[in-house]
Amino acid sequence: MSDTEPNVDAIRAMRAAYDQALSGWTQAVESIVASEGFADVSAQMLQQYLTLQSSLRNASTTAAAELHLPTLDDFARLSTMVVNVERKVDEVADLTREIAERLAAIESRLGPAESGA
Amino acid sequence: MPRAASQNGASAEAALKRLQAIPSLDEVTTGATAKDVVWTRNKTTLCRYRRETEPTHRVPVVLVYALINRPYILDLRPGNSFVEFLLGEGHDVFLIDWGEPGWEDRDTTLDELIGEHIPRAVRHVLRVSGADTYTLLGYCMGGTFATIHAALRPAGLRNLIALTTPIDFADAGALSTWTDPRFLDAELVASKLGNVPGHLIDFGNKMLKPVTNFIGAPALMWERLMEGRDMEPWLAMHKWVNDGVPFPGAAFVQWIRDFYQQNLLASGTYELAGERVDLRNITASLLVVTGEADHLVPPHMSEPLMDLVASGDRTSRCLRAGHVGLLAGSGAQRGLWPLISDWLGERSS
Repeated sequence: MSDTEPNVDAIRAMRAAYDQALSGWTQAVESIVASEGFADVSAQMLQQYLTLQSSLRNASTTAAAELHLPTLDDFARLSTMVVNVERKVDEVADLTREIAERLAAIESRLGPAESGA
Repeated sequence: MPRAASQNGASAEAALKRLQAIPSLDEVTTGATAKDVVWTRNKTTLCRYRRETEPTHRVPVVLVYALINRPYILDLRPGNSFVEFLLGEGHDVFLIDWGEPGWEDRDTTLDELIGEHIPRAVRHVLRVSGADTYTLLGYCMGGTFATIHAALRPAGLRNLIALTTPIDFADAGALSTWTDPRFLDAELVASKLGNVPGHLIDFGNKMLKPVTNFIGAPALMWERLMEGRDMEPWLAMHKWVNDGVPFPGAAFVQWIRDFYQQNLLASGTYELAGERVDLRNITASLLVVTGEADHLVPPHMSEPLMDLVASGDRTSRCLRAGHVGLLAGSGAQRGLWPLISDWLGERSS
């Protein structure tokens, strides 16, 4: 082994020791996180997070309104309008394609009749 | 200096050099297979992967991804890409990508995504491919969406592949406890946050296996680094795992309430946009694939689908893999991919 190559055997030994030590811990921790007690604590933390986020959003909305700046809700309303227009264009495009296909089918049926006449 | 100490010092130095040479996550190539956009609606995009030759299979494959993280797990990196593999096997491959919802999408529901976007996407797939039938392949939550669509609009669906797809939520392990109405008020979460941030969902998923995710994953990185192995596979997976997207608030409420809390789909009482979803409407050939080490969607959440559909051609396989490793892990190229290729090949002529 050259001096610049890692000592792989030592790493593997460390990894084996790590795996052995952690397997017990893994099971113990996973049983804790699956418990109702953990879920209850998580729910309380989530509640605090929601309150904080909600307060921050309200504060930023109020500040933007005071400064006569558009808020996130204003941009969202604009986006919704764009999305609605896109939806209508998509539906019109579908309808147009359907009409074109029907016309093509009619033309193909009329073609032989016209040439026969 | 003793030889062992000298070696360890050199090892550390070599590893440090490799650490410094690691590219940033932005520099890691993911989702690189060339594709064209076929159709878009709001953030939803239907893409068709480019082929240099005509497909040898007539039935196009439509991949339906989940609302969590990004779909490039299906096309992780050149040389380890499920999409690349399917193209190589002669399939015409499409992807429904839900995109990244913004604040304006907080009211987007599953009714819209499954009930409107998937059928329209399918119509475009059939139009551009010129095919009469198609295969739907859903991964994780995308499999649930694909299954619901298959039950509501079975016409034209030739094959349904459900990869690690939650169907029966009666026992979702720790997630059943966490999403219990006593501990999680999904409506409150959505009303306060709008969309549920990707990092919050990511943290929840990682907490299901905290030791593995918070200690095991970094340890694996160091192991690869010290052994001088290629870091790209680890980095690509690390990038994907931490690349969460927000979950639209209204869809989140439906997902938690209707599936985790009330288990409506498996009990046959689920309704999408007022239409009852009867899984017995599914007559397409069905392949259910699960991972025996999948902690997010354990096999018992997917396998009931086999008995809930009316398909005459049903196959179920449980592979030795976890939720993500099944699709993009080192064993996927020997396990899942050939399994799907063989199964699909016989049913795509």
